[in-house]
Amino acid sequence: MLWGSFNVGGSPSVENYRDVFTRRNASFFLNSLLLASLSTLLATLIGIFLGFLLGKTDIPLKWALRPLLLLPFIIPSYIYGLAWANLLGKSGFLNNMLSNLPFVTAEGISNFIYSPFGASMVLGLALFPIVMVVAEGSFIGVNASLEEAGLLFGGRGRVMREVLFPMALRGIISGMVVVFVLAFSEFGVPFLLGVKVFTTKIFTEFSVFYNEKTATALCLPLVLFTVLIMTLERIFLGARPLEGLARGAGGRTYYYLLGKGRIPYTVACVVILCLSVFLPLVSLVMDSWSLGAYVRAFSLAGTGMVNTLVFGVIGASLLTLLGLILGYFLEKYRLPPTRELGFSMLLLFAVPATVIGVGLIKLWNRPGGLSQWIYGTFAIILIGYVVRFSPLAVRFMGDAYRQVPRSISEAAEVSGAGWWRLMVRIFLPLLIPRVVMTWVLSFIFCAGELGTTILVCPPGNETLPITLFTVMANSPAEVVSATAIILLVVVLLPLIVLLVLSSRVGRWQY
Amino acid sequence: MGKYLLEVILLLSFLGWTKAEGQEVVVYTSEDRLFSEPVLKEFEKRGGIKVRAIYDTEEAKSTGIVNRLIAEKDNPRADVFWSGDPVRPLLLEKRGMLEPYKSPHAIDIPEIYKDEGGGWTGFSARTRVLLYNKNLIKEGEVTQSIFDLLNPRWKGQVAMANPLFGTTSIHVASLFCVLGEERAREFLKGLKANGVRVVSSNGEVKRLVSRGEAAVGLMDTDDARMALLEGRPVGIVYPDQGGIGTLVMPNMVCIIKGGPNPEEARQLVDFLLSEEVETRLARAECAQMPLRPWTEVTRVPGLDRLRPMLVDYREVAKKLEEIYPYLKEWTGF
Repeated sequence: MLWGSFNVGGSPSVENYRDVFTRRNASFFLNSLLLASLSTLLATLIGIFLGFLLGKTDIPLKWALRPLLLLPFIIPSYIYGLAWANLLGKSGFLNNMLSNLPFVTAEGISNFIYSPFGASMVLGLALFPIVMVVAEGSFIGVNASLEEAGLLFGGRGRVMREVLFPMALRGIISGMVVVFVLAFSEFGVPFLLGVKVFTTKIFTEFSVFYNEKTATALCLPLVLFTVLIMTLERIFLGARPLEGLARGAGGRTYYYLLGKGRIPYTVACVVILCLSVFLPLVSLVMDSWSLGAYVRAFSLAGTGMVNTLVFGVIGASLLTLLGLILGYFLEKYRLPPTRELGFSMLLLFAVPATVIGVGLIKLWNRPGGLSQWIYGTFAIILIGYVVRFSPLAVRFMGDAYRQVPRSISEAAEVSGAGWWRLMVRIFLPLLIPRVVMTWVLSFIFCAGELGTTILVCPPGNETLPITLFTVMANSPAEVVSATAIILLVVVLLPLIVLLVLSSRVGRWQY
Repeated sequence: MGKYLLEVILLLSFLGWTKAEGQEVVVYTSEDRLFSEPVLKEFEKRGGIKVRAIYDTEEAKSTGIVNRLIAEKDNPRADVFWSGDPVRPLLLEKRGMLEPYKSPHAIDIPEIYKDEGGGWTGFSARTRVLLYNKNLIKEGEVTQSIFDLLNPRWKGQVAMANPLFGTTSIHVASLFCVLGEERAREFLKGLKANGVRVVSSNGEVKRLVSRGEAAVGLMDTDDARMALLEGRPVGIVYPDQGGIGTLVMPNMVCIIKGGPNPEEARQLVDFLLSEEVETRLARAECAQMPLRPWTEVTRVPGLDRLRPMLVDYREVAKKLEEIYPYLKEWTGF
């Protein structure tokens, strides 16, 4: 199935590839590279900072900060971009405020937001939650006794530099790579802000020329580039210490008490929250507001709400389970065939949603039998989720397996534990924080999926992102923002429940 | 595994739930959902045939349903394609995907909006318009022609959607048909020299003009109407009424060859082509213009009172394909 969707329309001939490497494409490619690098940088800085505060300190209001800081990632990036264009455009509220400052003009700010730098800012802000979640998980996973040992010899700063960060690096880089690939393959935001990137090219081939072969050929550079990034990552991480996660042994995490720093750090969090969440949201809601809009949005959203919830939950659970199983085989056995499979799966992640959607149609839309049934029901949506996001789930879980000291699983095997027992008694308890984290991210990804779902979802049924984007055509702005808000709430609710639950059950906390 | 048991049960029940029962028709539509959904619901209520619809997003937001129709070609799942513009059905026609059907309800629709072979039939239309911001342009100074947009007075203040996509691409191709290659290129070149802002969609043009970030922009009647309804300080101009006229773009409906419910498909097409649906769409917020000249319209000028640009849609579709390389060059894509 994975391969099938990969080889859209059989093997494209050289003809389709001839035009791939032209000078103009190269400039598009450089733009993509710039956009992806800058947004990854921004997302990483914010993400590590917040991940550390949430995971390793006694910062107050964690229970509220944790879900709220996920919001920028839950808002569909196109809407998020639109909100920023509203804020910083010539007549925008923030633009008017900022242009009163010396050396800043309204024109300049507007030019900024409609540039690769503006688009990077938007994407960086939209994607930092990924780094934040992954960093938090990695920080918490670091064995407390190692840090305590370090503290005997040096100050907190040194322990952070020499123990904590190197230990958590594997996870953080993992998150960075995901952000990079996401920003690299992002289409909506750069298109909205008039930044010409490589994905626009692919989109144009599909949307204007209905030329799936050329479009698929154009994915080649994306895939090649992702291979390059991941190879670099492998080489770089190959030499890193693996055994960081042994907290399960004592179940402890070392906390850095903030003391007097509590207030400034909390303020910093709130500022980030305001900038990345409240300002854009307020601009969305205030742009036009009426109760009637919400009534209308609710009637439109109807089944979409239920579908998004149910299929998001099933999709996220499937993905997590898949990550749990495949991650194990990939990282623990490292046999050549599974390793290649793992690698090629990660490449799927770089393939645009439309290409996957068309591939799935070709594969499953066949007369009669099981495939006919699958294509006509919600099963195809789940398959879409799995194909698109399993690389993520497998990678997040695989990384976690690597951090479990080999000695633990070997000791169990020597004592005669089988695979199942090893899984249930050893890995699951150790990996629960990671499982929760993988589930949370998978859920957000699934619940927000548009590109593939719109191509395969059974007629007459839909998920909320589809409702939102189909309603967007010509609906009054207030109905659009109301629908967006409903989507946010629907995605956020189960996360709040889960996150509150997991902080109650201390050891589930990622 | 107990953790997933509940979900498996849920999944199975959902799969059972989505299985179709009784008469139904599957329609894919690129007409805005806001306007098409009520019409389809009405049909469902009337005839007892369940309508299963897939709506499209705007061109610039997903690659949408025409790609899906084409991908499903070997095993069609759709019965009817209701296109919001007059060019996309021609893409399907070119691929031999249309089942000819001459609806008895289409008899009083003018011939120019129908395929002589019955492949597609037009109804309710939109036209291209100029939307201007009243805070930035005084009533007396409003441009009456798209060619005025080349005037240096509007330098950097004009917005239009990317001419590779949607109705803007149809508009530009029509200009190439009407003006001829050379004058059309000159016009586009002039626009560029005058600093036209090329944005992602007509909706984006509307947003910029409404907020005063652009003074004037090109879009479709329904976008412009929505800006008025939102209470923005804007005015609408039907351009070139003393000259080449403005482009009229009817909806088009066609039946997909080999679809699962051919009989129901014909019933839906009959309904869509009825005078009643044209009247409905004229009264809706989008205020589409009925192709039957006697149908009363109040919110916009009727087609009989507008000077339309005289084009043959098949020629426009052909021209569009011809000029794509040029448009790609022009937009820098």
